[in-house]
Parts: sequence; C-alpha cells; structure tokens
Amino acid sequence: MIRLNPKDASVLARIAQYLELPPGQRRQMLDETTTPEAREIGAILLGELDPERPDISADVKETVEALRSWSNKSRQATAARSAAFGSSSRQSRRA
Amino acid sequence: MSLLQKSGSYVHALSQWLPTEPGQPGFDSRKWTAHTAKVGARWRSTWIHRRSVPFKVKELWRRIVAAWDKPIPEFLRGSDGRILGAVMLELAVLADTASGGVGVAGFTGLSGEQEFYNQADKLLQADSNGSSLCSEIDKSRLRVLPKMHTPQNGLTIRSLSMHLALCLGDEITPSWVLSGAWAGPLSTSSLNLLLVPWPQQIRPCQFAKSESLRTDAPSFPEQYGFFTYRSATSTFSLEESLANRIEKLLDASETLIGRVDAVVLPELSLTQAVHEQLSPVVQKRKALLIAGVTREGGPESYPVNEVLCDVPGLVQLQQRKHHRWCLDRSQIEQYGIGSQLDPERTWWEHLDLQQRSITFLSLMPWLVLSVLICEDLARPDPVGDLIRSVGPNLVIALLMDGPQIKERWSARYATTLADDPGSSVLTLTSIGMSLLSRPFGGPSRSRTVALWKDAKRSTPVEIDLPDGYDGIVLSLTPRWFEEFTADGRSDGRTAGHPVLSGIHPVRI
Repeated sequence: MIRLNPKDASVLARIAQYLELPPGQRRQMLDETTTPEAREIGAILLGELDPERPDISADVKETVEALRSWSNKSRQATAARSAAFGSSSRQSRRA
Repeated sequence: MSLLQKSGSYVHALSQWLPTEPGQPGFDSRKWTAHTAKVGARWRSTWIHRRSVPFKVKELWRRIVAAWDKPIPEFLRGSDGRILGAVMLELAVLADTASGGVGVAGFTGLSGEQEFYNQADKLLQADSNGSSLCSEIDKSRLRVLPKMHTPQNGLTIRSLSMHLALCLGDEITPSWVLSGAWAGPLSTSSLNLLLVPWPQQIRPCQFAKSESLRTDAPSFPEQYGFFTYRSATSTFSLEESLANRIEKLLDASETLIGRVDAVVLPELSLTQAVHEQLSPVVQKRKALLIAGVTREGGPESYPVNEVLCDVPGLVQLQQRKHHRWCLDRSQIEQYGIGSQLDPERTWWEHLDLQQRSITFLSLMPWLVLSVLICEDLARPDPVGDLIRSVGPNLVIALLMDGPQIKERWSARYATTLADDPGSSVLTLTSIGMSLLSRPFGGPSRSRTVALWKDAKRSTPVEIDLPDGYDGIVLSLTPRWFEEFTADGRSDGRTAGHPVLSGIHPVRI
C-alpha cells in the first residue's frame, strides 16, 4: 500500500466518502493533492481512470481498495452514531 | 466561548443566566435542547445552501458586536452582563450543536450534509502549524478542534461543549490526522493491541553522564547534570532479530485471538535501525505500529526520544518528547544506577526540546488516539490542557519506568485523565526497566508492565507479563455512554469509551 502524506490521505478519504457531492466538486479536490500517486488514486476513485490499465501499479490498486473499504465500513459503523446525533435533541438530562 | 472563558463568567451558566429574554418563561432543558438542535441543523443547512448563517445566529452576533468596545469585566459583570452572557452562551452552544460529529472518522452527517462535513475535514488538514476548524482565526491566536468527551465532573469551560474544543495558546502544535485506509477493525467493533514490553533487560551501564554540547548552557549549576540512556543494540544479539521475534509473536497472537490491530512498544525501546526493520513487518499485516524510538546524539547533536506511529496508508508520524526526565536521588536508588550517576546531583535527560506537537489520530467512530511519552503524561502543561480539551477516546503513554502498579505516579495521572475528560488510558513500560526497579522500601512487583484505566472502571487494572512470556494482547471494545453538557444537552450516547475486554499473555 502507498504511504500517503496526511494531506493526500485526507483529500482521498474525502473523495472516497463524500459521494453525495457533485462530481465536479469531488474532481476539484484532486487539485489539493500533492503527489502524482495521490492524483492517480483519486482519478480511479472518481471513475476517471481504469484501475485495470497495465500501467497502474499493484500498490495504487491496493490503496484504492483500502480507501473504498474504509469508506464503506466506516459508513456502516457510523450509521448508529448518525442516528444518535439526529435524535439527541429528544433527550435531556435536566428535563 | 473564548470570552466566556477569559471572563470566568461561564460559572453563572444556568444558575443566573437564563437563555431567554427577560419576561419570557424560565429555563426549560427540554426546550433548550430541542431549540439548539433545530438551529444547529439549520446552521449547517444555511451554510451548505447559501454560505450564510441563520437569522438567529446573526442576531446573537450583532448583540455581541454592539458591546464590543466594553472591557471584559464590564462586558459580563456590568448591569447588562447577565443578558450578554446568555447571548454568548447561546451562540457558543449553537455553534457546538451545529458541529456535531466533525472530526469523527467516517462521519458524513445526515443526508444532504456532506458538504458541511467535507469542509470540516478540509479545515482540519494540518499545515505546518497544525489543525484548526477555524477558517478566519489564525492558529497562533486560538484554535478549535473536534471533541470526543465532555467532562462529567466539576464545571469548566469544557463542560459547556460536546463537539468543539477551544484551545487557547500556541505553545503546542496539534494535528488532526484522518486515516482513510485503515479499515481492519471497523467491521468487528473491537481492537486488539499487542503490547511488547521490550527490552527484556536493561543494565545500569546503559545510563551515562552526557558530554556537554556547545549549545548547552555553559553555566549550568553544579548540582545538575545531563544523562543519556543508550539502547543496547550492539551488546544484545537478541535485538538484532527483534523484527523476527515480533513477527513470531504476531503469529502466536493471531493464532490465539484471530487478529492484531496494533503493536505497541515502550519509550526508548527501539533504535531507529531496528524500527526500520520492524515497521514493514507490522505494515504487511495492516496493523498500526506505535513505538518509542531513540536516536543517539553526536558531538554536535542531541539524542532524540520520540514516538513513531506507522498507520497503514500513511507516512510515518513522529512526535518528540515534550519534557526531559529528571532523575533524583530516590530514582537513582530505585533503579540502582548510582555507579553511573552521582545521587547527590540531579540529572536531566539530555534532549533538545523542539517545537512541541501532538497528533490526534482519528481512526474509527469510537477511536481518536493520542500518544504521550512518559513525563508528558505527568506534566499538565502544555499538552495536558489540550488533551483535556479534546478528550481523545484513548491515550497511550509509552514509559521508561518501574512497575505499573496502582500506587505509582502513572496510575494517578491515568486516573486524572479518565476522570476528566473521560479518556481511556493505557501505560506501558519495558520488562527490562521494570526488573531494574528495586525500591529499597518494599517488595518489587517487577512484572507489572502495563496499566489500564477507563472512566467507567473505579480502579486501574494492573497488567502483568507472566514469566516466560514475551507479550500481552489486550482486547478493547467500545462502549457508548451518555454524556451531558453543563447546560443540559445530551450527546445521545455517542461518547465512545474503549473498555478492556481481554488480556492474553503470548509467547513465541
């Protein structure tokens, strides 16, 4: 797996998880990345680059899969938390 | 929030301030909670659609600005101070409610809110001066970070917010790091840590008086000296194969419990060269490596005492120790190193203290992790304030210390952090240092190498390395408890507390 700098890791995590955002906006995030590898990974996440191309390295593919897996699993893991945030207004200690 | 803190007037929240206008009905916690949640959600929505804020927020801000030219005492303690205080409290609480979930790994908000949380994540990307959620306030003035725990004891400014941590001062650089590629434990809701209390042996001769560098103060008082601890790579052939040994330990641990998510080694346990061998072994297993690493100094350079964090998919994260260890007579006797360091003098660890930093690793919805090195756990300044403000779910303290028994200092400070802000705390020392510790006044309990304390457990748990074993696997499980702010808002059981759910000694 490619070891990304924290900025690239954050940008790519955002591209992977904020799927509701308009494609153009997610595409713009790629401009914030700082390395060619991060741009390649981002382009695959956005569907602009075919990961099966022979020039795509195994490390890049593995990183893309890791980001997708993290995004999917964390979405499931936060579902309960999201529901709780939404419902917290119903609760009160001093009611 | 800053004004509330500076004036100290937040203590009047609820008792004298009613977040309503005079003449309106008195404070009703249920209505207040519903009101803040409603306006908070509207704030997110208004920002997303119009890059603006709700009218209510504008109105509160206008009233604060109208009183801007008053000195702080008059601002809040004057005749209209009560009303202004209520205005500020309401604005701070609305900002807090609007920011629910920021900085939490994988949290993207309710449907239609992703743009807001994307912006928060973008703001948190650390630059050379760390992270902050503020876009218009320079980090040297103050910063706002996400918050994981609200203290449930006492009343401080931290009692008033649930999601936002106000951090004053620029003494230390905090970085909020989001890992987007470490998904291993996400599907299991547990975390298995392999503790390797290395090295197995430490000799008194590894402590030595340091040669002064040109940059050391030339007129240092005679009763003080500098010492250096030298890692024994060259003298112990065992350490040359440490990476192999830990690989075998990982195999044994996985056979026992199925999966290891992180490997943790104590302060100064590895040289940089050994760490470079070990890091790929752990990375290959998609596990975290958190290790105390030393680099020897030279004629022109100080030794380095740091923690290196290897997170799958991220470059290596580095954090230097913030405080020098000070060895006095009692410690020199305790560790039996009087032949190396004169007990009549006080010895300071020979380190160059650089710009202090701390990393908050946001790994899972229930796990924001911070690591401290030995003294940094004990000293409240400056990192203690930051830790208490943010309330990371888990604090790991890497120590070079004696046995981790309940009566010693590390248990006291772990308990303090477990009480306020509510973090779970793990301390880990080496078996070598623990064996070296032989207090004159009582029996040695030298195999207690780690200690666990969480907010929901009344006493710390001592963790022993049984004779003949090489490591310990700890299983942590998240439990969700309800926390409240001082103004009566509930977090809806979203405060994640890692609790201890298994202790397994392992051997090669």
